[in-house]
Order: sequence, then C-alpha cells, then structure tokens
Amino acid sequence: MTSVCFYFEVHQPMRLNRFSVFNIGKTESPFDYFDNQLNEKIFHKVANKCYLPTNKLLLDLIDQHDKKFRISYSLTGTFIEYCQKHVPEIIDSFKDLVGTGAVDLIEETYFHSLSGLYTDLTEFEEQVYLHNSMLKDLFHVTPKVFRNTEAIYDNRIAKKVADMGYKGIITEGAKKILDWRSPNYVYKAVDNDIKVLLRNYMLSDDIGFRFSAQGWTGFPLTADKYSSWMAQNQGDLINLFMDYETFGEHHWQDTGIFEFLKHLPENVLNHEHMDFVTVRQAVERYEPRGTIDVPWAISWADEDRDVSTWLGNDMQRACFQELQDLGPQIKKEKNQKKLEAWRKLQTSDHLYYISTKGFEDGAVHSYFSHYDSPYDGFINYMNILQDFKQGMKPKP
Amino acid sequence: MKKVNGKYDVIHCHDWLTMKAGVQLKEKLGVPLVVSVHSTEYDRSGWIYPNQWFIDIEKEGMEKADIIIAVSNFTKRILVEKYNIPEEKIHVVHNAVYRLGRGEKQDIVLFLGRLTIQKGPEFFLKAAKKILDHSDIKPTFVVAGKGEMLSRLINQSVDLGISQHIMFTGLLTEEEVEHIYRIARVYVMPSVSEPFGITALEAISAGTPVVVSKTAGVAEALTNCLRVDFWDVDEMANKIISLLKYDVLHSTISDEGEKECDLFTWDGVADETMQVYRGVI
Repeated sequence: MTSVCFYFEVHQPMRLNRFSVFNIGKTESPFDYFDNQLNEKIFHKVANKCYLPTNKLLLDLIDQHDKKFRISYSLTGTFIEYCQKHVPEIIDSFKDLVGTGAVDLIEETYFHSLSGLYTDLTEFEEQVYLHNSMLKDLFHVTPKVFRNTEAIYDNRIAKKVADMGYKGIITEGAKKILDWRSPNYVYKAVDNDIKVLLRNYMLSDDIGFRFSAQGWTGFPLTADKYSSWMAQNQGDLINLFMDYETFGEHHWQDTGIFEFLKHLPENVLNHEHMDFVTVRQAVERYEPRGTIDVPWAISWADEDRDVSTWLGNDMQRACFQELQDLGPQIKKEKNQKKLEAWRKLQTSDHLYYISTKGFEDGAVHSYFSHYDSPYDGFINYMNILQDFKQGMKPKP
Repeated sequence: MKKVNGKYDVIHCHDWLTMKAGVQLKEKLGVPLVVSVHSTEYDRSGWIYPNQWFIDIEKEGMEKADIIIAVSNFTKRILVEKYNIPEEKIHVVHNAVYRLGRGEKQDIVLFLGRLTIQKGPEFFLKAAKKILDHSDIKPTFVVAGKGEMLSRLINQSVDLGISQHIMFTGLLTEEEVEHIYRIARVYVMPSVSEPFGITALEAISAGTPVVVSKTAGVAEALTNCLRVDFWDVDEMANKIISLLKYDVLHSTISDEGEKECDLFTWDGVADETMQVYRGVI
C-alpha cells in the first residue's frame, strides 16, 4: 500500500505599516505597526480566490469519496485571527471539514515564527502551547504531529518537540539529509523516537510551482497523469505538502487548478494500491525505516533548503538578533499588549522580505513582498524594532 | 555634405545636436540611420516649459531613424508617449561603468551633477534639512558641480539654516570626482527626470550606496539601490539616515551593489549596439 498524505500550510502574515526613522519613539500603541488596511484587503482577496472555494471543494470531495479522501492542515494563529476578524465563515468551513473525521490538524508555532532557532527555546514552547489551545478551543482537536515554520528542522528542534509529547514531525525531504534514500518512508529523529515525515519535493512542487508553467515537460498536468506518476513511486507514503494558496491564488482559477484538484481523489483511488492518510494516520500506520540526522537547520524554502531565506544576510541576522534580545525584557514587563505585538513581529515573513538571495529565488521573493526591495523591507522592520526597543514612549 | 565619400553601412548619431546631420546623410547616402537617445528636451527641462524647437528636431530625427537606442525603459516610455514613436522601433541598451574601487568612508552625503532643475539639487538640500533637524547624525552634505542654480542653492541653504553643514565644491576635476565617490558614505541622485544616471553606477562601483529617484533609468536597471520619489524628501531623508545609522544596511548594499556592477560593462553595451546595427543592415 502506498498512502498519499496531503497537507496544506495556511498562513497570512501581519504586514507592517510604513515606518520611517522619524516615527521612532512616537508610537502610541504597538498595534499601530501593522497595516490593517492592506492586510484586510489582501485577506479578503485570498479568501475569495482560495480559502472559501477550496474549502468548499475539499468538503464536497470528502463527502463524495465517503471520507476516503483525507487531508491535513496547519493553520497559523495569525491566519485564524484574520478569519475571526474579517471572514468568520472560513472558520465555520474548517469546523465542517474537521467534523468529517477525514481532516487532521497539525501543530506549529502560533505566530509562524523562527523561535525554534532562538538560543533559548522557552518562547518557542510558549508559542506552540498558544497554538495548541487555539486548536482545542476552536476545533476540539489536539494534534499529534508538529510542523515547524516553513518545515524548519534540526536535531535540537526534533528533540524539543518529542519532549513536548508529539509523535511526529514534518520536514523537507531534502537531498542533503536523505542522500540516496527515498522520502517515501517514515524516518525517526537521531536522539529520540519521534517519527519524521518527509516532503516529497518533486511531486509537491509539480503542483505547487510547476502546475501552470507552460515550458515544463509535464504541462498540462492532469489528475490522471499526476496519479499515475504517484502510482509509480515506491515506498509507504507520499507526503505532498504545499501552501494552501496554491489553489486559486498562486495558480489562478483559469489555470485549471481546481479542476485538477476535483479529479485527483478519484484518480488516486482508482489505483488499488493507493489510499489517502492524514498526518496522524501516517505516524500511526507506518514504522520508521531509518534515522535522519540534521545538525544544521533545513527547511522547505528556496533551492538551498536551509534557513538562508530568513537569515541569509547580515541585515536579516541583525533584525533576528534584535528581536530575540527584546524577549526577556518584554516578558519581565508583563504587558500583554507589548508581548502580543512582539510576537506578531516574530512572524518569519518579516525576515523573508529582507532576503537578497539570487535571481531565481529572488523572483519568488519579490512576488510575495509588498516592499520595493529587501532594503526597504529592512529599513521598515528595523525602524519598528528600534521603536519597540525605545519602549513606546508616549508622544511629547 | 558634398565631401562625404566612401561606403558606409550605417549612420549612428546621438541626441538632438547631431540629428539633422544624421537625417541628411541618410537621405544622401541611402544608408540606415540609428539614433541614440541619451536625453530628451523633457528631461533637460525637468518637464517645466520644454522648448518646442528642440522637441521638433528630436521628433524628426526619431521618425526618420530606422531604429532608436534608448538608454532605459524610462526613456523608451517618453519616446512612445511624448514623441509618438512606435515601441518596436526602440531598443533599450543600459549604460555601463568602469569600476572605481573603494576608499576610506567619511561622514559625507554626496550630490554630484549639474546644478539644474533636471538634477533636483533643491530636494537634496531639503532632505539635508530634515536629517539635520531630526537626528543626532550630522554628516557633511557635499554639493559637487556647477550650474545655473548655484546661487539659488546657496541662498536656500542659508534660509534653511543649514549652511554650515553644506559644502559647495564647484566643478571638480576627474580625479577629484573619483576621490569624492570613494570617500562618500551615501550618494543621492534626486533627479526630476534622468534618462539613465551613470553617476549612480559610478558611486556604487566605489562601494557607496545610492539613493536614486524613481524617475531615473538607473533605478530600473540597478537592483542594489534605494529608490525614492524625487519630491518625497521625508522618505529620502529616512533612507539616507538609515544608511548612516544601520551599518548592516550600508555594508550589504555596498557589497551586493559592487558585485552587481560586473553586469554593467561597456563591452556588453558595444555587443548590444552591434546587434542593433545588424538588425538594420
């Protein structure tokens, strides 16, 4: 049996207001950092193009296939807050999806942060608990599988997550950790027994990146063709992990992405040796076939599959350090508002916008960025961090 | 004209000064005409009262040309929109730079260019005022070059109360220009309308990050720079201060920008120009 484990990352960052050096020291509320207007506009756009139609389609598909079509989601805390504030029916539709029993939820840091890379992992743990209680409150689900921000993974994070009681963790099936081995099996971490699910990046990116690329040999990609590719794969488990916005936002409706998705379950289930599993079922059903050892952090991002997307240049590292250094002081102050703002500033996207990586990835970066350049991103973010540091003195 | 003899493959002329001659030669010899546009009357006038006499000459030259080389897409748009030249007739070839190499940086914010409306020096002074008023950083603002606006700019700096921080150098020699590029910490090019702006490339080739106007060709060609609207002096000041204040920003743009200069070579420009010739002969 080969199981297909379909998982979607659903995330929206809280984009920042324009903040010049002249604003430093003049902020009245730390929530003024966030560009509510822009954020709301983008959220509504993506909700209509992706979240609402895709949720509806997937719910129909689960019903049609008698719950044999199974999927998993990792919903970030910032995403959920957007839903609550702007489009609450998205939460209802996720509740319906979870209610089918064919949908599982994945744990992560509430703020989609890089706290897993901090020297001290207390903040990481707190953000995971926040996410955990959010899922419990809203969906009555307690996840068994963890996925760190953008699949960032190293031995230390795996150990921490195992200690926190999770049975599985998701990361990238990067060549540099697998070498000749296949991502289509469950592995275990090096110092403990947590099971590791590895993203099959070839097949995942066929949908995520290449689906509408007309120059690609696989174009046009049909559900039939794609299912037969999967059927030829050997192994226990094919992990297909991608941004949820793949459907309707990265690939617009007119590319045929929804038609593709609509026919995918039947085409997969037509192959007798294939079925769908949630992440929870994947770690329950399959035993590890080997160990993966990751001393230096990997991720699913860019060609490098490491953390250079967020921490690749000095500007990013300087911001990351400032951000981390603010922690102890903010926690001492016990000011809920400041703590929340600091956490929203930790969302990895803010550092992503400052990436100066090479042309190929840079094109992807600028697609996602609302800044003119990574330098503008740095100036804005650093100015805000400086303001935050100055302790939000009231206007003179 | 009577003395023109010999066989020519192509006539290539540059800007309005040479256009009439180019057109006449084309007609006499029956050879294709290539026109390079380095600037238009709209740019030189800063879009304030452009002189129709120049525009007519430019328009005639462009219309009679078989192909036009523009130094940027920014200029190409002007040719299409203001001179009604068909887009497919215009080929963009960006300018290039001979790299200068770095010097020991000093607290200098540099403006370098003709002191005319087109180059926007008054916005540089306004940004200087913002910086000196609002921050503890007190760099020297150097205005290098000469031009009709000099006395007005000196008066402006006195009126703004910042004259002790502004240095007007007058026209510099080539050596002095290279030196000031090398030692300046930030270069600002606030042009109202700049077809390309090689000075920005010269500055970054000396490891000096540049704040450039969005209405400059170089802003579309150079990735590692900071772009501003020339009239937005608040944002200009924000970016200059950020470069002075955040070392990592300065060093990253400086390093990446210097590397990027390798993409702007005169050999490359020559190759592209040859391609254009081959297209018409």
